Amino acid sequence: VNDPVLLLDSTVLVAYERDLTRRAQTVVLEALADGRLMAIAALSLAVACAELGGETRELAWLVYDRDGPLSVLPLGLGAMEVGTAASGGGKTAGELEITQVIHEARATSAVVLTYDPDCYTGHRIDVVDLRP
Amino acid sequence: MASGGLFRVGVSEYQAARRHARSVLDAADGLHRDRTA
Repeated sequence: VNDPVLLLDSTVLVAYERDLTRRAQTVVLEALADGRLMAIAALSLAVACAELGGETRELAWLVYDRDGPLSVLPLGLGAMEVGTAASGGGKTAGELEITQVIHEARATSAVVLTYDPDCYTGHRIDVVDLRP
Repeated sequence: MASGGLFRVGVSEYQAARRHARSVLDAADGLHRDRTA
């Protein structure tokens, strides 16, 4: 398998839930049809659900499907590394999320999909901007 | 997964969404190829 792991950040998850144009959902659907691996950092899911305020019907279909194409990457003891890496900068949930995404992207050589690529400027990871 | 959502948009809108999706996945593949080359 030569396809990269696709790491979806919270901006993509929020867009997936609210997707009136179906663009974010179609990216996931096409990736699924290709048999690609997709992943979400645990903190991305937490930030997205907080942003969505409990309106997570579409997202729930995706993340609760055990046989589905998406893995949620647990934080676990990685919390020490993520927290330490974030300690020099911001400490908000969103900033901690970005730190975990960067951490996971490096660990798995994943490509990050996002609607806010500026968050990752200066970090040596692969990022694809989903904005049209 | 999309709970039938894709069927609530028109064909042209879906085709545009699909073109966008393919461009996103192609971009991801390109970055990955460059990294592993």
